Amino acid sequence: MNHRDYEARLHACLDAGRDPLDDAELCEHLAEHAEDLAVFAALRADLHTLATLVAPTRRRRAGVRLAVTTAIATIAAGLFLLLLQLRNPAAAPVCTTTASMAAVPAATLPAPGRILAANLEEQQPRAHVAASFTVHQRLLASTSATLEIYETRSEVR
Amino acid sequence: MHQPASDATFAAFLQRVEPAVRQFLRRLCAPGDAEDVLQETLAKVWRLRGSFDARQNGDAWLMQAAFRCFCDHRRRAQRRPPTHGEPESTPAPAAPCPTELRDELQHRLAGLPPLERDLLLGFHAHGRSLRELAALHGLPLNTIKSHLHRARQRLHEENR
Repeated sequence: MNHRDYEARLHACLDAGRDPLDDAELCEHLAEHAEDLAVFAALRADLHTLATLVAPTRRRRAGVRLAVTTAIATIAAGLFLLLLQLRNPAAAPVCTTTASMAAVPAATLPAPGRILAANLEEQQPRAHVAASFTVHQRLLASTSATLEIYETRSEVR
Repeated sequence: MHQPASDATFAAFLQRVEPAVRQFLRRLCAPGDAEDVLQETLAKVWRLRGSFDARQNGDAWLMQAAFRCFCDHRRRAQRRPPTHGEPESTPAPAAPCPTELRDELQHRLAGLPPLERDLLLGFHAHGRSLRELAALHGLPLNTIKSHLHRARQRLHEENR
């Protein structure tokens, strides 16, 4: 590989976001040409330093945008399923109990579950997003009207 | 005709070049790996000292040997299955950048033409794609590429 071809291939790797060291032919050229090797090492260090010049909150990466979009979609889907479950009392409960229950007139049942709070937090490193929400959900209803507050918290993605 | 160096001469040569090789490897390696690769390199070239010609460019010879050792080290690390908590591939050099390095780089960036500086920062610091940069600057994609390639070359030339 001549010097011109080497430079073209190096820049193509960098433009594509690939590490030039993953290219076997580039590595072979660098191992045989010390003058290009020194320049490459300096460039690699400079590009690494360049990436640290901008504060993390200002860096835009497609992966972060995707993670945020996915988290929002997941929360929306979770809320939608929760609403469906609450509107359909015959659906299987999230938590089950073996305690027997006397039939309770619908009019005396506690208010259906609702989302008390929802939060989306961006975690470090940037690829992670944490979503959490607190739900008040009816788990047990009897003539003694025992209710449980059920808190759910999603995992860090 | 091949003129092998004596052990004393070769040892003195290694002692002289070692700091430059260490700095070279720190630019390539992940944190903590540079010293390992340096020791591997020194051990390897010591075993091969009989083939070293005292008349040749010893510095370049040693840098090339160090680079080959680094490549071998990197391949072994990539083949090794990651243990719990480790990344799956050898990361790019992630050593914390000293303030003086950042200041020095910013000084060099200031010496570049504005468009080339914007492209370098936009692509390598802000993570914008080439298409985004082309749209941002109202230039064809190939023009953006040419400017970015020139910017990378000039960044090194400013360092000389």
